[in-house]
Amino acid sequence: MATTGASDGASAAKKEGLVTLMSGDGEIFEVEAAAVAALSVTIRHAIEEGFGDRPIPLPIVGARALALAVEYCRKHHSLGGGAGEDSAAYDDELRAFDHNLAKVDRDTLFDLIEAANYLEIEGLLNLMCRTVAEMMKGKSVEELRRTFDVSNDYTPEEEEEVRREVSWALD
Amino acid sequence: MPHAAPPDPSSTPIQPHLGRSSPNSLPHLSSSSSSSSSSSNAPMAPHGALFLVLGYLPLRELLAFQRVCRLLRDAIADDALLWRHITVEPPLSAKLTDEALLRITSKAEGKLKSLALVDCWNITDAGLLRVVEQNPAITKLYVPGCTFLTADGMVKVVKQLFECKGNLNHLQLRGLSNIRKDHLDIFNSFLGKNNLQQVSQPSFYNSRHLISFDCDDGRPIDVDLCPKCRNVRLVFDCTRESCRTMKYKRIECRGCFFCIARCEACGGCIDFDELDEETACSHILCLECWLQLPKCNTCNRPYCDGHASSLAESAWSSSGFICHQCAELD
Repeated sequence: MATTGASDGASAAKKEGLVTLMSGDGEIFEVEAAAVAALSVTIRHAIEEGFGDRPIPLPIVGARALALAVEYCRKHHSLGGGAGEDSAAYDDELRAFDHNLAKVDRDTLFDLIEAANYLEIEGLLNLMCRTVAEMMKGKSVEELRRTFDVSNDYTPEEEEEVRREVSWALD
Repeated sequence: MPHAAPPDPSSTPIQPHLGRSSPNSLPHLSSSSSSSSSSSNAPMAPHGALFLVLGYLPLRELLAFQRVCRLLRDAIADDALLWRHITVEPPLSAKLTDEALLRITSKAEGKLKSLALVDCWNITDAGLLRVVEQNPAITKLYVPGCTFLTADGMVKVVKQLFECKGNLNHLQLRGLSNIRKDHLDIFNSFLGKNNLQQVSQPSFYNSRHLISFDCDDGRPIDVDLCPKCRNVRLVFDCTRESCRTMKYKRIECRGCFFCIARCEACGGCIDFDELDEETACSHILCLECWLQLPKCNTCNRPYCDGHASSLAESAWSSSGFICHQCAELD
């Protein structure tokens, strides 16, 4: 199990079992190494590669998303022993926690998906992607564009072509 | 949750999505993701996170997403992995034609792994045969309720998969017309299982009835020969441990829905002597379950759990409920 074993006794001030993360916007987080390493493959590798007491830079992860991701790791590490969503050990409290976490607004959902993807936290990625997939259910093409702020960049001819291809299902 | 391209939890679902999306889309991805959440998306290109969600979308939403913009269309079209597991469920089922099926399955580029067609009653034997000819790697083929398919046609389909050294290991056929014991024997032999499923773990009415087609109970074929009527149908074991452990009883109350009356709540067999206890929803219940359920204040009949949960709030009061029939009489 990865811990902060690489501290060489150099920084005595460093608390045992903590690892420092730096978000893309420069905020510093001191978190329990065991919890984040158990759930985030990226951070586990970073610790194993011996970042030691230097902060691990996470360039594309914003501070808010990182805080939520760390909270997710802590909760799942302490309650589920780092088990994934399909584990039998998954209890009601974790489910309630996930349910609440997924209630954030759309932009935070997007940020969390990218953060989970970058940090390789599989359970969090699944949770957030399923939440967004659920938001899409039954929506028309125009509603999808509005919900997710995407402009229509098709030429009329292209649009007609792609419309025809899927018309059996959508018209 | 049953879906078009369920992310395979055993593989590594995390990095490949981004890696796979077409290279020309990457500049957009990084520009939208490196900026923090506070900045508004530039000229409304799709957010990078949306590309990661594609693998979680059911078929209808995946098709709708293709129409949203070019980048999403290309990301979906270029990613054969999204199309390896295809599920067509109502309300899409009734619209699915042979041509449409061929078109969506061809996106897997011959590597389709599982195909579930639930109640797709327009699909013909010839249409399905063309799909399996192009996709020899299918391991799961579910066609419950595809009433236009025939048993003879399915034999050809399964034979085709067998002959191209496919590894078909799960088949769901309930509702297939004219299926007989000789068909079942052929399916069993192609799937490489002898009559093992007769002694495999029991299959219960309850879990099978609230069917989800992707319930993976380890049985290679969902239907079996009913020991009572010799028809090939879903065959249920009794949920009562006592019935199953007593050998003679196990045979006696194992049977299809038409041969053995089953309790809606517990899935146990019901003696016809017990059948005089009525329910408000015309489902049948065994005496034990009947006694436990709350009854209508007026006629003293219970609803089965499924109907009770769909009962309108207004029907309930602090002292119990009034069933819909009694409410109409009032």
